[in-house]
Amino acid sequence: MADRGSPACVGCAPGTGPCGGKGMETLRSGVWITNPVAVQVLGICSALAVTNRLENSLVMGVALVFVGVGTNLFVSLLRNVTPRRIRMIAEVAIIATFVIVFDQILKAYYWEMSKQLGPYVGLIITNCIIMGRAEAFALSNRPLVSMVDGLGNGLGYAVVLAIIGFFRELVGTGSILGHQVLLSEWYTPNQLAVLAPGAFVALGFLIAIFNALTRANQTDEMGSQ
Amino acid sequence: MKKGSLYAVFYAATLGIICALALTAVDGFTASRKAANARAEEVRNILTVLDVGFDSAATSSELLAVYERDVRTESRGELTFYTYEHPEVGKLSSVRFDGPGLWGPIEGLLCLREDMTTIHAVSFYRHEETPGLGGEISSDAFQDQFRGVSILGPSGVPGVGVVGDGADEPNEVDAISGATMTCDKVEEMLNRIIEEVRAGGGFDG
Amino acid sequence: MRFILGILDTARPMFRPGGRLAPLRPIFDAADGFFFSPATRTVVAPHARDPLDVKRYMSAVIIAIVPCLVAAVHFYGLRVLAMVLVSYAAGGAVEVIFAMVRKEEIQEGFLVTGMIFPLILPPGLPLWMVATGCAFGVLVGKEIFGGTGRNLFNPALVGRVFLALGYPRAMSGAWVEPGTGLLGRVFQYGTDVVTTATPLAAAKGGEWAALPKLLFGNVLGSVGETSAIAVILGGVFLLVIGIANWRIVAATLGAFAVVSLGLHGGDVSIVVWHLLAGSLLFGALFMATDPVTSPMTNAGKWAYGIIIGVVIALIRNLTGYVEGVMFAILLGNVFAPVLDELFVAVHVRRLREEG
Repeated sequence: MADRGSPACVGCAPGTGPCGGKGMETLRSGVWITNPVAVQVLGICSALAVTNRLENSLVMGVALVFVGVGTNLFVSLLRNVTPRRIRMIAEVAIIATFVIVFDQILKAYYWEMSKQLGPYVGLIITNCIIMGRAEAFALSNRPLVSMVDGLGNGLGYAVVLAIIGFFRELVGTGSILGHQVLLSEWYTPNQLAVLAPGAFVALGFLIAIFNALTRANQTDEMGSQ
Repeated sequence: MKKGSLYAVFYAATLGIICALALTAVDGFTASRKAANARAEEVRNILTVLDVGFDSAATSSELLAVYERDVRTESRGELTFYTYEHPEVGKLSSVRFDGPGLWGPIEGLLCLREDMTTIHAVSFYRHEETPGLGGEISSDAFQDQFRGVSILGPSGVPGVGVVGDGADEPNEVDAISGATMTCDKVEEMLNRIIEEVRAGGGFDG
Repeated sequence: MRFILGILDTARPMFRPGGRLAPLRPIFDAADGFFFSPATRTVVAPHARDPLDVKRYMSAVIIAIVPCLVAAVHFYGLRVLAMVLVSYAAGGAVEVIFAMVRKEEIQEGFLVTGMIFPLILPPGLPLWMVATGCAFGVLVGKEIFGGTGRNLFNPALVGRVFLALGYPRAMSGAWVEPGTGLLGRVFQYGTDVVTTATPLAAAKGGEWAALPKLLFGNVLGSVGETSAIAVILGGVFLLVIGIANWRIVAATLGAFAVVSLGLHGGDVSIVVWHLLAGSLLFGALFMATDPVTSPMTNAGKWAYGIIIGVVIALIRNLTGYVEGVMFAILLGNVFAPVLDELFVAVHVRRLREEG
């Protein structure tokens, strides 16, 4: 995991450095230990809806990283001046701004993708992951480590989506990123994979594998103690 | 208490204004490209059905330029036709149609040759039919069947047929096996637009 | 028999814990149990409420299916048997792998799934699809939930849904023209696939197949459902010996008939036709009555049957699908545990109020 650290935080001793030494741990828990999709099962709506193609999944992952990092930064910056009573409204306003910015850029420079993703970019506003991280983390942590948290959770979401998208596109159309890799002479695409039920099945398998891996991990750690 | 409320209102207003300004700026920055993209989307469908040659990797503005150069719009009766002088087959007229499919609305373009009775091309560019079955209406294999098909039956009755038991009349094409319902709906909406074309002055042009 | 016993006894030590082939023990146990009754008896069965154990239940269902199988071979040729073999091989492989991972015995429930699965498929379906579908059904429909007795859905139907949504084209265009005459296609392999409409699909276009044809089965359709007489024969056998629950069958067919009657404006002949067409009878008699995936309480059984019957009638008459038995039974499966819970709670409350 050591190679995934944000440069600013690699090698910080506990309690020192810009992230207070929590950078690596924060990133690791976002991507792996408390992965928003595979462990907390949040953000499922979009994870199921856009993963019929790998490209869509990747763009959606980028969107979540962008919105997550931006939102966490600003929520954290404003955490001491935001009145508690209206903090949720403030968070939603910040999230919505970032989401709309991303959506507009997509519409202007990546029209085909914008059409494919349809309403799901806009729906990031209601994505539990973003709102949850802003509430649970950015509101009580310093800006830089909050950004790392947004990055970790965004990446955690992106990785899961990419895996599901990869397999759904491969099984459902025999191609990867639009390039035919399984020849149609001997491979009949299974269209279930690109339909909504296929997303449920794929996500179910992924969570099962994730659980099996983390469980093996835990027993290892217990054994070594 | 009162002071806290005032501060909250002030804070919310400031945050709102900042967000609004940011969004306005981004919108202004991307507006022209977005509009061009949306227009190019329509234009691409029309150019395709009219067989106007264009580079498939063309940008939105290039597509619009091709459209402005080659395609004319004509209003005949209630309908708007998009026309193009095709160098080989002569004047082509295309018209939009839509109707309910099996699961959702279907939209398409019907393109007729100069005689206004021979179909040059049909395209279903928007639908929500079952992938692999009814969804095949937007496949080239299905759409290409319509090339050269007459909109008049053998006895001169207007209308086309999407039939399951082998197309043997000049106004018939083969249905998609397993998608009888979708094909029936498609036939219905094609016949409605054909009727409108014939009634709505499609012949006085 | 003594010869087989000899082989098994020589091999036995190798499969004992610690033996060289210990991981393959489920296979050995299955072979052992198939030929000889085991010395140890199963204490915990999925359903210990009646004297029928799982094995006897399985044998009864397989006997009941024989008429359908005979009719299927008659109309569609020997390929049907190949489909059964492939289905057993693919599903059995998944079953064996899971038994090995869990270090449990191979569960006999699979014998029924592997037999019913090919019977609910179009007779011209490519064999690899039969294999994939069966493997998926056993894996996702059963093993993931913990094996026979713990599954929520009927595994054969899960496999069929997988194929119907995954390969819609193959599944709706792999019908085989039924053989005619006394011998039908008994001596043919039967691969000439036709894409014409099944009776139910044709009925949507206003062509009604003749009733005797539906009864005998020389119409297009899935392998096992084609002959109404064969299905009824096997079904009545199951009802008489008490394996299939008559309440579920009565509720399914009754609810279907009532709703169809309403939708067709009281035209009895259309309703009778609908009762005999498609996979309604096969589904109601063989699949809805699966004891694992249907409710335990009698009230629950009625409600479950009614849900299935109503949904079939609605799908057949009001949607783009021509047949709705598969979706209806799976939907009924979803409600089965909830219905049990509901009716048990109602019953308990009533007892409390009385006492």
